[in-house]
Amino acid sequence: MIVTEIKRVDYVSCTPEKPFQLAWLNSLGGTDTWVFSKHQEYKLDVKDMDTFEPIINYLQLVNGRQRVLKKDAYMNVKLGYEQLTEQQVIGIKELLISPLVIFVDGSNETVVVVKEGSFELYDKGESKFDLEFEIILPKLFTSSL
Amino acid sequence: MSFLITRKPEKVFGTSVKISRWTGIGNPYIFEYTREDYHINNILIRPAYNTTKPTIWTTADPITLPLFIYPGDEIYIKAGLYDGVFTVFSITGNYVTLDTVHLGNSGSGRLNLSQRITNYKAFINIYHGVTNDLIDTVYPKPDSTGLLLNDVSGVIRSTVDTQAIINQTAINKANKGISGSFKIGYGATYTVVLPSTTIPVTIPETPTSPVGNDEKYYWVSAAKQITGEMPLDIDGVGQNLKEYVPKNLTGSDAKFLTMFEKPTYFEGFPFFLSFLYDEDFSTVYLDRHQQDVDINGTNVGAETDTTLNVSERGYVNQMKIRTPNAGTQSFDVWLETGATITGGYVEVGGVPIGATSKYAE
Repeated sequence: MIVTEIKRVDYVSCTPEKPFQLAWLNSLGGTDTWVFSKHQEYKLDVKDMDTFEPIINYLQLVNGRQRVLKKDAYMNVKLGYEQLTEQQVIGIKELLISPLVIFVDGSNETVVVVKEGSFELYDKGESKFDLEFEIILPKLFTSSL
Repeated sequence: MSFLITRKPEKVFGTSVKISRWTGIGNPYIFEYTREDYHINNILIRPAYNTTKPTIWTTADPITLPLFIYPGDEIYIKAGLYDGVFTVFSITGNYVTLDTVHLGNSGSGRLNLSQRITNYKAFINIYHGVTNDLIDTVYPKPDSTGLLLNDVSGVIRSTVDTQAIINQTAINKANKGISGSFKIGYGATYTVVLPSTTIPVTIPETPTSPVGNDEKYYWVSAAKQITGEMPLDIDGVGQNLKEYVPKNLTGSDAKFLTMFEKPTYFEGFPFFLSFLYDEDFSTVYLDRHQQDVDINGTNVGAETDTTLNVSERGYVNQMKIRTPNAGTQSFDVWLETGATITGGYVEVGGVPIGATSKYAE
């Protein structure tokens, strides 16, 4: 006796260029996945967390008046996919509100964050959409003073 | 005197006796309780007590007979036309005459002692559904009408361990961090204030033991707003996941837990479908069925079925999909009831008694 819906699943045998798979918990408590394309390679975002000015005895000998105490560094990746249907976009948009997004790389799993405000959707006509967004990889360890 | 659970967050499947008790804890998970100091059988004019004023016939708790009610007391009544606070005119045994005009005959309801009972405090114990360990106790108070709405989602959220399972080897795997079950036990304490003395009272916990309590409620770390019929009159949407709960019932067509109308399986990458593995499948196995089709919708290869691991029941499950055959454009997946479970089941990695190992893909 059948006890569930009969779910039709598309099977894509051609791997997207520069594939990057994300899996995320959706708002129903299930796990959804999608294989995106890397639109831009890893980009490094660095922020100065704190600075200070050392005491200066002789201005003539000073080679700089500001020192950085600590930096925050993150790697970003821009992902995208083209020619999506509206239903596929609805499914993928769950990424934005998911409490857990994971980058799946073979047997490795890395928790990532979708960068706020980075989600861009382009209407290509004929009910097809392209999308792009950035994800933030785990914070890099940086040395500090 | 009693403290009753009067509405539960559950939905019934049609005319069957099967119930969905799965709720997303991103939404309120509400139980309604009612304080009923005395049960009202009816309210009529009873000439033996008064010819013009209505008289209540209560079902008095034998322990508290005579009633803890005195002429002049204010009592809360909820029974048909009588809804509010009334003054007691006289009392004889378990018949209470009200100092009011007759509003009409009324049926059953409840009577609460507004004046004579103080410090009314309910206690609700929330137990783990599998280990029966106490998760927490909350002490809410009923409102002035004796109603108490208690949202347990906050307590349950404290047990969530959000995690994803990506590299699973078994055909199905429970995600115990984002789903689970619990049981509740409830009672109340209060003080009865009489003219000459005060009496502390405890309504003992119901059910008395979580171990023997089969009424489990299931939770999922989900926040989907689900519209549709209300669960037994409890207000709000998004509470019960009935449409996602498979049941061992003809016509059951539970949805998988995916936000994609048509998910996509990319060749060479992990892919899953998630579903709620309900306790209703305690006597039969669930089988994953799969049929591949080509671009014209013609079957590619034969339909396959594989038995799921029954020990993962009671949680959100992730189900692996068989690698489709060459030439497949899409495929259909569904769950069917399989063989009858005989002799119970064993834990993950074991082989059910009387069955062959079909866990491997």
